Amino acid sequence: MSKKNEQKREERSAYLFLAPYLILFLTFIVIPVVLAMTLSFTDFDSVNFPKWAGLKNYISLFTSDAVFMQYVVPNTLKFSLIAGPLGYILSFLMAWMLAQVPKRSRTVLALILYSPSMTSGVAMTVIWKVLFNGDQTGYLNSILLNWGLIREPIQWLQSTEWLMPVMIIVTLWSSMGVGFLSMLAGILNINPELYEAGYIDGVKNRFQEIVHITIPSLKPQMLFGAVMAVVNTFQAGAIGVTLSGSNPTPQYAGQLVLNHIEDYGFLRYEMGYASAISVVLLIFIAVSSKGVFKLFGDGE
Amino acid sequence: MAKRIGWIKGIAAALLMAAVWNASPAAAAAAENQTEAPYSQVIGQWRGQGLQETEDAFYVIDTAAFSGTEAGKAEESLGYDGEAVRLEKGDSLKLTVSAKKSGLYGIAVDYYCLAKKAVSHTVSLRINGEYQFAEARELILEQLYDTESWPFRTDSRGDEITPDTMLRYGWQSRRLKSVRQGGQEALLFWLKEGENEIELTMEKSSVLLGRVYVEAVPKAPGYEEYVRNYPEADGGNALIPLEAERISWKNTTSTRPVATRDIEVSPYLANTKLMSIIGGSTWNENGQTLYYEFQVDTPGWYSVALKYRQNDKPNTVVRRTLTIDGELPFAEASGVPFESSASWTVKEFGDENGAFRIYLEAGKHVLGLEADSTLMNPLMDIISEQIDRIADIAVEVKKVTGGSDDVNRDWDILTYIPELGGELYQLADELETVHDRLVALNLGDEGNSDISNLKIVISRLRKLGDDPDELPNNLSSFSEGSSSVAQMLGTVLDSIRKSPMSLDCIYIRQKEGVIPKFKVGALRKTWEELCYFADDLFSGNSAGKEEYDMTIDVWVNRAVTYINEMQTMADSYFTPETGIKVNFSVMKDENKLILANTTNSQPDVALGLSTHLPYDLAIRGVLADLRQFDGFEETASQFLPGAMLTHTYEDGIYALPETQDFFVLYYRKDLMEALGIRIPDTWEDVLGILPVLQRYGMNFYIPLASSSSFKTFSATTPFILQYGGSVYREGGMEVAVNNENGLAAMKFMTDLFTIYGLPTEVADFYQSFRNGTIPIGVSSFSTYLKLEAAAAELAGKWDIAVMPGVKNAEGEVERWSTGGGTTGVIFSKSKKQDAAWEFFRWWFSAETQERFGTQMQLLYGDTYMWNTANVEAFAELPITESHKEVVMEQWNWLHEFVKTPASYMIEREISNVWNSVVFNGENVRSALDDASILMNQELNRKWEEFGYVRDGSVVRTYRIPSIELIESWVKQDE
Repeated sequence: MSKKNEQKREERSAYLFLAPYLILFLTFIVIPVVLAMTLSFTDFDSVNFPKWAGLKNYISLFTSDAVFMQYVVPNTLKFSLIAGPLGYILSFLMAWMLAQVPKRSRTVLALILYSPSMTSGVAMTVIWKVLFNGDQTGYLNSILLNWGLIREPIQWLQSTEWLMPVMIIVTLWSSMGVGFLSMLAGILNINPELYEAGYIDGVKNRFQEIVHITIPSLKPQMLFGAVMAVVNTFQAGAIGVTLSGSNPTPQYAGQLVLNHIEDYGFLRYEMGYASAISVVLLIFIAVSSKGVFKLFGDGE
Repeated sequence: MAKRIGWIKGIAAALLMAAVWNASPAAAAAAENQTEAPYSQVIGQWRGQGLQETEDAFYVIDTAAFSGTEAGKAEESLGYDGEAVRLEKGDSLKLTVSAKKSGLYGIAVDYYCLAKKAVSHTVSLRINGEYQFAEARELILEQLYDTESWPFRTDSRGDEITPDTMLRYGWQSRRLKSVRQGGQEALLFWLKEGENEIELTMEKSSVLLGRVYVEAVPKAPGYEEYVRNYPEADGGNALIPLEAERISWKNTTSTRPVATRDIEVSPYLANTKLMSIIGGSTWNENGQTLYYEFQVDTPGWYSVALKYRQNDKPNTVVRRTLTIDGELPFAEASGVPFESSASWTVKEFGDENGAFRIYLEAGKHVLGLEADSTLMNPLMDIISEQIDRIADIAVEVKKVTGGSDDVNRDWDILTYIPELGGELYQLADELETVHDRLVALNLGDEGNSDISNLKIVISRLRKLGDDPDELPNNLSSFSEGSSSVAQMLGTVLDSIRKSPMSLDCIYIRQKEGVIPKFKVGALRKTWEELCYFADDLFSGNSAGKEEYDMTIDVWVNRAVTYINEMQTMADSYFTPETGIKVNFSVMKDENKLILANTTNSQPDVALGLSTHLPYDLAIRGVLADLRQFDGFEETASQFLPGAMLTHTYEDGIYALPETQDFFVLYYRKDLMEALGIRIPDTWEDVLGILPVLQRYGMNFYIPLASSSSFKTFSATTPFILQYGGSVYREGGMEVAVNNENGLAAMKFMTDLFTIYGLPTEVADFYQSFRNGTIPIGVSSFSTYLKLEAAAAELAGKWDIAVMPGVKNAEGEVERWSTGGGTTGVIFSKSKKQDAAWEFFRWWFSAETQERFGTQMQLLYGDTYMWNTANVEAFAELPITESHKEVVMEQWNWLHEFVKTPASYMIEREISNVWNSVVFNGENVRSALDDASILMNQELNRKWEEFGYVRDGSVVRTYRIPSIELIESWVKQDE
């Protein structure tokens, strides 16, 4: 009896310690997600009380939303399949290269590489919009004009063929985020004796070193970085809009799922429909993360 | 002047020889447009010819001798000791003076300002049929102002409110002076011996005019002579302290008391904002004078000390002139230097020999303190002439180079403009003299930004003069870039004019009179800072607890500076009258209103919303229909009907426009003149001038070329409307953009870029306009603000005109355009709608709007220009008259975009069509047809949501509002 009581008390204190996290997790994650899922089955104009609509939103999303099928899905896939893996590989390479330099300059360089991912909003207008400006005062246009490579300025941010590449480049620039930091830490933590042992066992060059020692020892951090990369690329949305000026992007050339959600939620006042899209996005991210776990995880 | 014209002719000849584009018509046009030389030059020439001020001459011309006037005798002379004539704007009168001697005279008049508002009264004066100098076209009849007397009114927290300024009516007798002159400098006119005909024309406002005096200007005595005229010094310890903020009267509306909380300032209270000083930034223009009445009990010698601070312009000496009873006591009292000082200091009027002593009899006296930068006038004349010359040179160079921006090309510019090198050196030499003079006036050059700017300019000009062939490739550092010689000179020009000084106290004292100590230690200061902080932190809760019949909440999407002023005005004018307390708060993001409404925490009123938002809220039932309120017609009729189109849904109007923007044509007068371009009236004309512009590497701007890739309705609908098209078909169920007119408009919008070579993206029109690379273009109010407030070197060199349009079948040019701006709404969930409407009637009234606009501009400068949507109030705002006329004419063509629940889709698809035609080369017609299918689909879907369409068939049509409809609603009761 007393044992049971004691166990109960222990449980209670465990929950007490968990409480801060649980409360925050519930209010900021679980409840909104559940609410969004509920709203996705309604017609909600963000002013009047939602009306139950059943599966209507999902049906029209998959059957009659031409913009979604024609632009948003292909754009999002293109964007995340290029920017995601490339950014991931880039941050691994950068982390590995940084690990080779002495400590002091490493700290400075790491900070420099990490800063874009924090400051991207400001940097976007200060650096990228000036760089890709569409008249001859834009740096890139100016340089190309001076070298005689082009005869008149290119509209990097307005023309449909250039917007997506520019978006990908800017995203790559800011992709050294948390994943990069964790990989850097991971590489620095690898026991140097492993490398020595590897050389004794016949490793001949740095490449073999990476493949046979660094990557296997880095599995947990690689997994973390991969998940972050997937989530980030699917969640990216501000970029096309910031670069081109407003939502929607010209001829939907840079329209990603997140922009589509904002389009319906805030421009068309159709919150229910927007919620349906975000639920689809959520499922999509969950599935791809699962895939990433399969790929990088130990299968535990 | 003659030299300059010769120079231009020389270049014209050189250009003709070189068979470059014929520049002579332009040069001729420039010569024709020459106005008179500035006074500072003319007076120099006169003195060079040996003309002198006359002595003892004094001619009085009575009203009876006035001739050639449409102005009648005034039936009421308002207390004048003689007959007066009434002069309305545009009236002129002639009088003759037979001078005994040829020489320089001052002209003074007796006048009584009749205007009911704070406007300037100006006249122009011709002697023997001509203006003797440029300033003679705009002479000022000074108006005096009273301020509310101390103690000042307080708001609900007990903080003092900026005292009101009132017109001070009465007869005055003053010498004519120009706008830029200080009060003590006499403007001299040359009268020949014998009969002289003087013609006086009223340019602005109206006055009663009495006698005119043509007189010798008396010279103030020298200080030594002055001292000799009075009894010997006798000490004494009288001290007459005056609080500077308690002005008796003044000659300007802008100089005013401001609140400051600084323990070294008097008066001071830690927990209350007191009007305690004259704000330095409000007292910086030449001639702004403050008058203080004071009482002297002991006659004797006094000196005048100022407790001042000058931290607005570091390391700059400012000057003040002292008058007693309206007279300069001695010549040295004018333009006395005061060094800059970051903290409060006391300094007496004086020179290196010590303080000036002034003999005061017992009784009432008036002390006048005048901001004085008269000594800068000749320097400013030289600098502004230099800026003109730089612009001329740049144009001539561009004519040779054709605006090529290939930096690798070498130019042999001296073949075409042989004098160029010498000209540049000459510019540098002249600036060198300005520089030396400025150093002398500023008592040294250390840390003074104007002087160091001049140094940079001079060295750059010399460098360019060394190798003039480099000039074509360095125009950016000469006339175009943001730190070019021209723009730096513009900055200097604007800066040396100003002489700010904050004033706390004035001490008039005898030799032994002791000025009270005011300095406190650092520890004490820190403690006081903590007190303010605590006060600011906690006092917010205590406010608004007083008893009011009703309190309404108003959320405003504006900066806190606006809101403070709105609160002050509502507290002092609205609440006392109606008993309704208004609580303003800042709303950072207008989209939060939707969330607030959903959670029932919405305010009663929201102001400062963008134009597109009210409709979307209204159709979902968030807003109250304003037409239901009493007196709606009366209030709404003061606004442009075209502006309310956006806020109309079915039979209701859901918002009132608060500010009203405009799109007008901006152009550089100097460049248009130099290139011989006529200002376009239609889009046809624009196409006509494009080749000329483009030949010189210049271009034309329209809002479609802005850097945002999303082309909003305000960029696209003007063309559709001007081409006679409309966005929706009758009944509102389908779009009409794909009909013939819409197609023509769309084709023109895209042709401009694909065929006529307009730039597809302009990062910043204002900057390009300043540089001269895009010297003409259509843009909005924000450009106007920037040009007015920031582009000093362009002052007087640009102008605005109505937007180009399309000639319709009747031959009238249709100039339809949108405006945009901000709006105010009342929420339908509010339980205090009637009180809110009461507030609306007050806030949107012409009186309040005008007062607010004037106040903001006076308090914070031109950048806070308030472009009120109330047409009547706009007409009274302190904005250049000719610009106001242009804006009002453009407003006649205001047609805000009409919204439907799916208008976002229409806006977006039009933008996409433009994009696909301009960048992807698609066919206009097919792109537009494809797009209209999408637009109609979305319209249909949205109409279904709102119950106009059920199962694919229309059950109710929607009336697309028109200007006529709104006019009929607004004018119902009249």
